[in-house]
Amino acid sequence: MLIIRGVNIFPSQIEAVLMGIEGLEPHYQLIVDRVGAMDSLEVQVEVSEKLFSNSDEVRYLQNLERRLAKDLRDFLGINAKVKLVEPKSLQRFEGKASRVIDKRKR
Amino acid sequence: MKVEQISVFLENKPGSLENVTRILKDANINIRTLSIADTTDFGVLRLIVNDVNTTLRVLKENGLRASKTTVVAVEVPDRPGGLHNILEVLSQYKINVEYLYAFVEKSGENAVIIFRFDSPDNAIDVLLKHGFTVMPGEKLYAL
Repeated sequence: MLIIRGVNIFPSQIEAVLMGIEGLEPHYQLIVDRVGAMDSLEVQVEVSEKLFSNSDEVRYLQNLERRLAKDLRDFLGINAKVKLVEPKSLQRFEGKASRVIDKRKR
Repeated sequence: MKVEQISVFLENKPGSLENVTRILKDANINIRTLSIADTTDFGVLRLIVNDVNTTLRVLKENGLRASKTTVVAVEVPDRPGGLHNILEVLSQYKINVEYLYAFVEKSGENAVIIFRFDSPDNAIDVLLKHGFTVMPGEKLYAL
């Protein structure tokens, strides 16, 4: 479990939100950091074949990033930056814990 | 009458594009024209190549996210007004251009403009009806 700005988050919850969006596959990674006194969360999601066959337009891809960020806010109460990334740029994880890179000190 | 463009999703970082051009060079693919749409974090590279299927295959084999997108190529004399004449007609029919890019043919006489429409079939009908030269893929790839 992660605590981000006082909110308890399980990666599986983020995965569930991801799965709720048509075309997204659960190949994701969470980058947690602290900027000044504020925790930050970046959700990196691989662009799937299905997604990219649907449309190659930038506005479609950006809308998807926005939609995911909105769903994370609405369902989990967290403000995350969402970033689409190239396939296989993210490791394939066995357990869920390793999907998280926590850069916060201590 | 339609053209297959190759689209590639690339992260906005040094080396992304070079990776693609190396793969294409090694596969002996010739790029006719290209464009990149950029955002902060990523870009979409769009290519017109001389061998669509091989290009798609080698890009995928190398782990890249690539797809085919149907676009329309219109050939116009390389003179002022070439693009405007086309856009004037499209506006008349309320046909929206999602994106476009262009190049001048080797002969120097004509330019080719590549258009992305939501409904390519509809756009092609309108363009042909108004006497524009729509260039089919086979001809474009071989230019």
